[in-house]
Amino acid sequence: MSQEYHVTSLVVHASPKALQQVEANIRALVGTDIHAITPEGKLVVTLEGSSQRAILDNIEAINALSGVLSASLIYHQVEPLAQESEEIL
Amino acid sequence: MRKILTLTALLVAITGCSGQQTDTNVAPVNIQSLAGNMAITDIRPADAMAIYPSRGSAIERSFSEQPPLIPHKDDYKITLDKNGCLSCHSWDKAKRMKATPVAKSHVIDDKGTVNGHNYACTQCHVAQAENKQPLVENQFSGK
Amino acid sequence: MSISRREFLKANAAVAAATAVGVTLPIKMVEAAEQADSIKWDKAPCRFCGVGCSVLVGTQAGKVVATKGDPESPVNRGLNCIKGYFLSKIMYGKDRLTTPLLRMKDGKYHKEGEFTPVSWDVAFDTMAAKWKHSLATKGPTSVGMFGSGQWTIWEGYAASKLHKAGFLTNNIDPNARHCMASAVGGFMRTFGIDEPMGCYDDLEAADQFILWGANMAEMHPILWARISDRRLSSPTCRVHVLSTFENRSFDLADNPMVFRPQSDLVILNYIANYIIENKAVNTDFVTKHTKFALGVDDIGYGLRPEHPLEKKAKNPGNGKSTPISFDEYAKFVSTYTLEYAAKMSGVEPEKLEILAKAYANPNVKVMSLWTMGINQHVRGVWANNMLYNIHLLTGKIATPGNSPFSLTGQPSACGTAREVGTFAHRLPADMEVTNDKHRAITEKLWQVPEGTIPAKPGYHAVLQSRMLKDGKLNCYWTMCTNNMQAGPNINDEIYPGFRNPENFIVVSDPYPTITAMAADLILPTAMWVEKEGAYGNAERRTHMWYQQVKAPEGATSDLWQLVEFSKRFKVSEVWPAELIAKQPEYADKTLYEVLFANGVIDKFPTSDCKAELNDESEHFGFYLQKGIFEEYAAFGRGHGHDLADFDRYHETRGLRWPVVNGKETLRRFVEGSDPYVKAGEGFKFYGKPDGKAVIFALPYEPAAEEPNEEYDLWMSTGRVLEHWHTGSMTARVPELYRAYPDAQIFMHPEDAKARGVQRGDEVIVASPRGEVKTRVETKGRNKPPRGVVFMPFFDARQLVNKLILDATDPLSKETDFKKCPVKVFKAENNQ
Repeated sequence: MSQEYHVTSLVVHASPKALQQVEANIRALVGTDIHAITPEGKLVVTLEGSSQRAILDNIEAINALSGVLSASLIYHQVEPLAQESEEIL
Repeated sequence: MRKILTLTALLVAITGCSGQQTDTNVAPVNIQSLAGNMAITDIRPADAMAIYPSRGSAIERSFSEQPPLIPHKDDYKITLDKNGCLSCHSWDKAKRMKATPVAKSHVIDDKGTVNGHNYACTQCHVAQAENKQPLVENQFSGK
Repeated sequence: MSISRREFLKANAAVAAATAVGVTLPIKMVEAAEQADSIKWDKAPCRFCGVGCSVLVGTQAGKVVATKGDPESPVNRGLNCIKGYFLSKIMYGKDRLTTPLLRMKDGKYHKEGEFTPVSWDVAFDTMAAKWKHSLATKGPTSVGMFGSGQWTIWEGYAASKLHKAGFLTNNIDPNARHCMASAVGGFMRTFGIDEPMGCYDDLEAADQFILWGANMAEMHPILWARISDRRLSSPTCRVHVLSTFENRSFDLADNPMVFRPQSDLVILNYIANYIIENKAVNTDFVTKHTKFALGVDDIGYGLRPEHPLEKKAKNPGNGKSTPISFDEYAKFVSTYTLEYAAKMSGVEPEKLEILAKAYANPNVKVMSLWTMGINQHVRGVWANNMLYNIHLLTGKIATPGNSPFSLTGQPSACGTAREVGTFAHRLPADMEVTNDKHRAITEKLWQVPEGTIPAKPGYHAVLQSRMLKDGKLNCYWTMCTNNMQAGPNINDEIYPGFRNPENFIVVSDPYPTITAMAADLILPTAMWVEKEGAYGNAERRTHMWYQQVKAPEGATSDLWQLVEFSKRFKVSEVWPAELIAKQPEYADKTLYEVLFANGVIDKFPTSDCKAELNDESEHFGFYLQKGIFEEYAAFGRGHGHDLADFDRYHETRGLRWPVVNGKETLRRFVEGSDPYVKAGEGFKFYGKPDGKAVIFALPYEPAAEEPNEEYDLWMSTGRVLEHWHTGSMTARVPELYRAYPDAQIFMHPEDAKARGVQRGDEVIVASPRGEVKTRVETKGRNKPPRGVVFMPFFDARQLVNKLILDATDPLSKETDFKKCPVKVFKAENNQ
């Protein structure tokens, strides 16, 4: 099995009243970084992980947080950590 | 046959930038369409039929997410009942048939069942005629 | 992976998200993302077909270095087809044009001169002089433009405005005339408003799919992949495929049907008859939401008036109808029995019945899909009407899975040509030049005096070719299209028109196409992600992209060219005195000031653009694309064509209009989904004043030409998977070229044998209008029945459209490319 590095960025829209709590909850997840927060409650978040599954788990967790109105996926990049010339099992 | 604008274009780009009128000494260029030196009213003889190799080894990709090309001919039938490509490229047959197994990204379980929307292989993977060279050079360089 | 690379990738991700929200990040983060030695990814709609997939484009050091499917798009969910995957290479053919080229002899323009590099100034000076001379001596009908369903939305809008309000001519028509005009005609006649009521979500909701002359496996591959997925995973899903020859779509068909060309009209009326006779009419729906009409028949073939077929027609070009009752309609279609349909089409009666049952069975959700087989048809509008008939009779429309879906060929025939109205008879938002109110609304929004826009429709595509030949159209500019290869009757009409010494032809293109080679001035043009763009796909999804790389030095975008050219004209030089008198402050202004720097289009600052690159905005000094979009959007908002705010399209993978209160519309004309249908109304076809769609009684009428003793084979033309249209982009990609290098003629082996030829032989294919040389294919992906042959038109070396007659649907003016009698014989060995 080859190793991979996944990074995804999201825009999370939180209800302004719950903003602080949402921010804290996101920071508590593994592999997350918050890069900016706007006054209307939008957070620019990146997620890092070694598999798509790990990223998706985090996205699900974020979506499930109370106070989160929406989370939009903006960007996803996968970088193989080992050299591969063909797709192999 | 395939002439390109090199020095002439450079010269014109420079004169063009300075907004001068065209110098009567600027030479005409010899440009051609993909039909080469055929005039539109000509009836051009047909080129030879394309020949696709009967077998071949994997062709290196020119950029990271390019669907790999088919190194042999691609007239294996893909129908509702049977996918001809998978008779060599399915996960359970590939090793024995010495064929590249279907990509991980195309399967939905550990047995290698192919995702429905990847079923029509030839929508993304194509063969390459061995007796044909590109009409025009392409300067793409990929990652 | 190094820590710095990890940081860099994370920075990239953060910047992308921040850009989407319009937030600024700390400089350090932005700098980390801008390292030149790594790939920056951004989205863009695919450059090719009307499916409208989204791709991710990877750029590095100013070049595109990779492309891949965009996983975030609900259209393609990360998948592309072979052409989409090779988008990364289409801009890098070595013969990219980088300088305007003018035919010159002895230092001056000369019609028979050789292409000589000139500056943009000389190019525009020459053009402006020609245009002004023509306008002054022969008037606005002597100038014109042939545009494109591959134009971006703002390019189409700028072109339309420049012609209709600048040069005061309606002689602007898009190449979408060759592909979707019949579909538009069908929509307008049946519903009073354009574009599908369903969306791609119907693919996952329908039970049965019926392809009417559409080879989706090759031409709409991603949608076909979605259908394949459905068919393979659902035990009750069924696929019916009708075509005039066996093709790749037949490989997945449960009910494959090869029918005699033109008999689709008979089959459609048969199905209507079946529905009525088997009491499958949804009486409630029909009574509440439809009405019946008898269409005028014997309407000719859109040929030149002196052509015998036109003289013979009783009602040439007549699209009128008279109201009738349901019973009269039932009586009209009652002659279209199963026996008649089977006889006329050659399809086995059992298969026709299975097809009819799918429509008639109230428990089966049916999605009908069609493109060029139905549209490029001398009775294309009728065929579109008849397809809607069978969905309306059964009430199988506008609900999930019940979907008559007119597929679009080009990436923005919808978004640009149709919605912006870049047609000889149209204005934005489905308005028409012939309608006084529509012209008044447009003139008001364009801030031009009453009476500016001409009321008479201009020359449509085929008529443009004829008028060029006849010397009535003298200054002609084509953009983003290759009509010398793609249009009909090259030898008799298109070519003589271009080379007529009275005419001055300008062609804007990135590459030297056949059309460019026949022009007098060639303008080097930017492509795809070399400019900021917006397209609208087949399911009404408007989507946008940012400029991601610069065009080659010297090349400019179509938008830049149109707007810059407008600076060369003063209003006093192109408007008559009576018109200027209505707005005298315009007299000394340039068309640029009146049409583009008009307080609306120039009101957004360049800083509003969130991308790094925007060459047009930088040049003109304001956010040109946003300004045009917002001026254009004013036409449709509140009128069933609502577009969201400009910025939202850059943030998303597109939205399906009407977008009202920020919400896109999946299905139109139905309560609960369409914001224009009020609660309690159920369905409302609000394009018609009474809210009712029209079911048309229309007969079978034969094709313009049928095989005869000399020209004994019926030829159809079309595309192949690996190439887009005339191959100017795809044939320059080595992998696509080597996948499918040359055109050939697909023939039944017995037809080949009867003519003494076999697979691989060089043959001449001839019609009364010309000849091409090609090779015979009897075992390829297309397997025609006896009496039918097929040739693709992508190959510049085999101009198959020399053979095609410029017969059109007289209502839509769209050429029939599918029914040309030809003869095939062995080419003499002339080594």
